[in-house]
Amino acid sequence: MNYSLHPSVGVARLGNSKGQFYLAPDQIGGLPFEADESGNKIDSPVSQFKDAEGRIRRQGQPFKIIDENNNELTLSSDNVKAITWTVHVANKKAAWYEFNELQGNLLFGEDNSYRKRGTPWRNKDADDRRQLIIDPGPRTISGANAQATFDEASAPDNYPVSFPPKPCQGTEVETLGNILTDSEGRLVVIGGYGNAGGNEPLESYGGADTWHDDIADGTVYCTVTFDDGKELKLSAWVIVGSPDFAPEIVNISNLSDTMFDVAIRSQNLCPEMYSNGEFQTSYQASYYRDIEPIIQRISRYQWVSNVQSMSAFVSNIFDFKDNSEDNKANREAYFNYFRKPVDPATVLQTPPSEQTNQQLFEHGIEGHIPLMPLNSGSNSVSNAEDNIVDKFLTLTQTQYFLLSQWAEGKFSNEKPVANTSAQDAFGIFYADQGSVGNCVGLPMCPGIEVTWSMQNPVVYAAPYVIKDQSMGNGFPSGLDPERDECEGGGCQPGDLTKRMACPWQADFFNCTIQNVNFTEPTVNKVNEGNEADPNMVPLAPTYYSYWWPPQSPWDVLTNQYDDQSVTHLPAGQQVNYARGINSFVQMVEHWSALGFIRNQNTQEPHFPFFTESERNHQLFAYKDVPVSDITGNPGDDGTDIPVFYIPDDVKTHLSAGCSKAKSLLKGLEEKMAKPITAKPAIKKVPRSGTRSRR
Amino acid sequence: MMQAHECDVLVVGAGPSGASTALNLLNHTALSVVIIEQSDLQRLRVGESVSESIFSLLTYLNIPESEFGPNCFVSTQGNTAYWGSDKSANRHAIFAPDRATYQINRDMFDATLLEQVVRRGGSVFPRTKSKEVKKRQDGRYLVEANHPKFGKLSITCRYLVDASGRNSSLSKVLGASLSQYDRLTGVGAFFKARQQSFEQLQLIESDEFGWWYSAALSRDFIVVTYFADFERISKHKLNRFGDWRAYLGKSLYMSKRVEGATCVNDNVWVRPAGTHFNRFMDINNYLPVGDAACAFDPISSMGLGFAMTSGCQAASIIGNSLTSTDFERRRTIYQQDLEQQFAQYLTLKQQFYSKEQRWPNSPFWSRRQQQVENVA
Repeated sequence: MNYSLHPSVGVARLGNSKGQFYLAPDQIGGLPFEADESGNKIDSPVSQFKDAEGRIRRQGQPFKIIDENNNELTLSSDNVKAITWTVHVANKKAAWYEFNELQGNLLFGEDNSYRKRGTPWRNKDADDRRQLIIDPGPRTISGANAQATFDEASAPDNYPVSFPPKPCQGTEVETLGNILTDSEGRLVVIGGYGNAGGNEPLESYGGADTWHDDIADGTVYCTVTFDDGKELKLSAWVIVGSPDFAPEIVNISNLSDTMFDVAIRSQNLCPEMYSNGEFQTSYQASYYRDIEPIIQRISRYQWVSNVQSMSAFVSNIFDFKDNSEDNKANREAYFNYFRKPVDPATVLQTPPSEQTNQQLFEHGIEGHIPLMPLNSGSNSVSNAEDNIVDKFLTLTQTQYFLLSQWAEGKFSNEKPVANTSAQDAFGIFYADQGSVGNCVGLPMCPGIEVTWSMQNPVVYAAPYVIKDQSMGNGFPSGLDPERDECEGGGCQPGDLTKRMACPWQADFFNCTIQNVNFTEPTVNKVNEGNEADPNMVPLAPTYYSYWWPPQSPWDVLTNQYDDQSVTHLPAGQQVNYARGINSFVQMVEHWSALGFIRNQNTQEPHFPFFTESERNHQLFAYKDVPVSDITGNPGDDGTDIPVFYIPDDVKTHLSAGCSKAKSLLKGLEEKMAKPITAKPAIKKVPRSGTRSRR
Repeated sequence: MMQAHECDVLVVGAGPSGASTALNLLNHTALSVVIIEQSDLQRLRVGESVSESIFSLLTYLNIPESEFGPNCFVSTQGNTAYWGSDKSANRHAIFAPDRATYQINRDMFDATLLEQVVRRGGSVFPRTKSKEVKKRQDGRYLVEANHPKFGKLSITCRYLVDASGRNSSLSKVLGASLSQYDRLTGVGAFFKARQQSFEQLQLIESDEFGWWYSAALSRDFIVVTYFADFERISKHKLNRFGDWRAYLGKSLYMSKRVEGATCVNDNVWVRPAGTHFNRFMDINNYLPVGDAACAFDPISSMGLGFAMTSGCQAASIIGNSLTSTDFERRRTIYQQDLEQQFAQYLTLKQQFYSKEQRWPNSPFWSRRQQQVENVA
C-alpha cells in the first residue's frame, strides 16, 4: 500500500457566518456536505448555504490519507500512533504586481515578463514589502478534536508574523481562518470570513493599493507516526476561494481540466495521448469521460447566463455518443464550431489576424453564429501594444484534442464500470479532480480562485501536485514578497492566490460581462478621454460576452418559494443576479446577501430546474421608476424600470421625528465606520467596463 | 490612521440648504457628494412657518410629500398679529400677501431630506467638525475634520459648498467678507398644554424692545420665542429661563396664550436671527448657500425657502459648469443674484418694521425703520 494525501490541492471557501461551516464537495459539480462542529462529516448534502442570520457558511476542506484502493489511515487505524498536521497559509496579494491581464505570464516568453512589461507593484511605495504579506506563520495540531487559528495572537514564537494595519475603510483582516481535526484526526482547513479593507478608493476590477482581503493559500503537511516508530510524511496544498454561488454548475474548462492539460502536455501523464511534443491522433477518447462532461457543462450555462447560441450544442440534434462513420459529418460539423486553442509558446509568431482565439465567428469577423465556447478569453480588456490579447475562450488544448478525436470517430462509447479504485485510468485521484474541478480553469483574467500561473508546468511537482519550494521543510524564516515562482523552484504559501484581485469583491462585482470587440485582433479598448484623464472603452463593434457565469452568475430565475412581497418579482422571471448591489462599495459590504443558484429538481438529473435561493431579499428595496422620470418626457410614463437598491436602514418607517433623527444618526455612523470612497463617477470607467452599469 | 475620503463636492452643514444642494446634485449629475455636519442631528429644530411654495420645491427635488410622514406639514388655521396696533390683524395682511401657510416639523423635515441624500448615493457624516481647510496644488480643497469616535479624517474635494448656517464658521476660516446688519437674537421655549389644547394658530406681539412669536406645533405643544437685539437680551439676562419667563408674564397676549400650560423643561434656547450677507468672490471653488450666504430676519419667513432654492442654484452651477472659467462666470451671476434678492429683502424688512410706530424712541424699532443703503 502506498498512502498519499488528498485532495492534492484542497479548496476551502470564505463565509461570514461566525460559527457555521460545511465540508467541500468531493465531486465536480457536487454539493458540499454537512458536518458537526468538530468537522466530522455528516453524509448529507448541504441544503442551506447560509445561517439563520443570512450569513454565508464557510467551506472547510477535509484532507484524507488514502491509498489507491481508498483504504484510509486515521487515528483509529490499527498501527497508527499519531497524526500531526502543519498548515501554513498566507496572502501575498498586496505585495505582488498589479494585475494587468496577461502581463507577467512567462508562458508567452521572457518578453512578457513583469520586468520587461514594466508592470507596477501593488503598493509600490511601501518600504517593507514583506510587511505587505498577510502571514500568520504555520500552525501545527495533532490528535483528535484539536484546533488552531490563523490570527496574530496564536502565531508561533520567533516567526516573522505580519498582519495589515487597521484600514480606514471596510473591515480589518485579523485572521486567515482556522484548522481543526475531527474525531479521527483528519484535518479540516476552513478559510477566512470575507473581511476586506483598505484606505484608497476602489477604482478597478483588480482592486486598489492599501487593500487587503482574507483569501489565502498554502502548504499542508502531515506526519503519520506508526506504533513501530516509523514516520510517513505527506504534503498537499490548500486554496481559500470566494463562495461558489452555483455549486452544481461547472465551468466548461475548470481547474481540473487546466491541471490535466498541463499533466498531459508537460508531465507525460499519458504518452499514448501526447508524446514527443504532440498529440497522438491514434488515441482513443472516451465519450463518457472526455466528451459528455463538456456538453453537460455547456447546457448548465443557460441557468446563469444568456448564451442562446450555444443551445444547439447540448440538444442531441444527433446522437452525440454514436461513433459510427455515418455520424461523422454531424460530429465534424459540431466540432468545427469550436475555436482552435492557441499555444502560448507560438501564438506571438502567428499574425494577429490568424490567431484563432481572437475570432468570434467561423470566418473571423464574419459568420452566422459565434464560435464555441461563446465566452470571453483571458484578455478581452487591454491591447496588444503592451499586453497579450486573448479575446474569446477556447477549450484547453487537451479538451480540444479529445473533441477532435471524437469528431474523427476515434472514441469509445462504453460506459465506465464502477469500481472501488481511488484513481482514474490516468492514475489521477478522483479526490484531486473533485476539489479543483469546482474552480474556474478558463478564462484567467485573473479568474475567481486562482489564475494563469496554474497553466505553467513549473509550478507543479507532479500531475495535480503543487511544487513546494521548501520540499516539505516549511518556511521558518518567513516568506518572500517578490520571488516569482513561475521562474521555477517551487511555490510558497500565498503564491497561488497572489495575482487575484485585491479585494476579490472588486473583480466579482465588476467582471461578469464583457463587451468584446470582434474586429480588431490587437485592440480591445480605445481611449475616449485624453492622455491626462484616460477613459478606456471597448472598441465597437463589440459582442456581449460572459466571464465565468458558473462562479459569478448573471442571469438567473427567481424561485417559487420566496415571499413575493419581499422579492417584488413573480417566480420564474429571469433577473439580474446582483440586482441591488450597485457599487464596489456595496459588494464589499454586502456580498453575503447574494443568492445561491440551486437545482430544485435533484431527483431527476435529466430535468434540472435551477433557481435563485437564499438571497437576502430583506436587504433590498424596490422601486418602479417610470421612464418619464429619467427622460423628463411625461409621455414616457407608461413604461417602468424596476430598480433594486439597498436603502439606508433609517427607512424603517419610524413615525416620530426625533426617533427618526436618532436612527438616522445611528445608521449614518455605522456607515461611517466603514466608509469607502468610491472613485467619483465621472472619472475613469473601470478598465474592464463590464456591466452596463457605471 | 486617518480616514481619507475623496469626493467631487463637499457640503458643510446638513440642514435644508446643504441637503438641497446634495439632492439636486445627486438627481442631475454623476458627481459624488459628501455632507459633513458638526451636530449629532439631534439638536432641536425650531419649527417654522412656510408657504405652499415648499411643495413645488420638494417636487423639484423629486421627493414625494408622503416620504415626510403624516404630520410633517400642518396647515395653519390662523395668524394673529399685534404689530403696529393693539388690535389684532391677520398676519398675512401685514407681512406676506400670500396664500396658506404650513407649520413644518423641522426634525422630521431635515431628517427626511438627509435620508433621501443617503438613498440617492450621497454620504453624510454627522458629528464631524471641520478643523482646517487647505488648498491643494491641484486646486482641490483638503478639509481636515474631527469625529468623536473616528478621530481625524480628511476629505478632498473639488467644490466646497458652505451650508454651515448663520454662524458660517467656514466662510470665516476661508476669509469671506460677511456684512452683519443687526444682531437680532431669539430666545424661546416649548410649552405643553395641560388641559385645554392649543389653538392651531400663530401669534405675534410686538413690544418696545422686540417681538414675541408663537406657533402651535401640535394640539399639545407650542413654541414661544422672543426676538430682540442681542445687547438687550444680554443686559436683561433674558437668556436665563427665570428672567425670560417673568418677562413673558408681562406681555399682554402671549402671556394669555401660555396660561395653564407648562414649560417643557424649564430651559430656554438661544439662536442668532440677525441679517447678514456673504461676499465670497475671492474664494475659489466655493459657494455659500442658505443662511451662510444670506441670513434673513425670521419675520420675513424667507429662511427655509431661500435655503432650498439657493442650494438648488449652487448645485446647478456646479453641475452645469464645464470649465473653471465657466464656473467662475456662473458664480459671479449667482453672487449678483443674491445681491439683488438681498436688496429686495432689505426693503421688505424695512417696510415690515415701519408698520410698528408705537415706540418712536425705541432704538430697536427705529434702527430697523431706517432706509438701508444698498448691499455693497
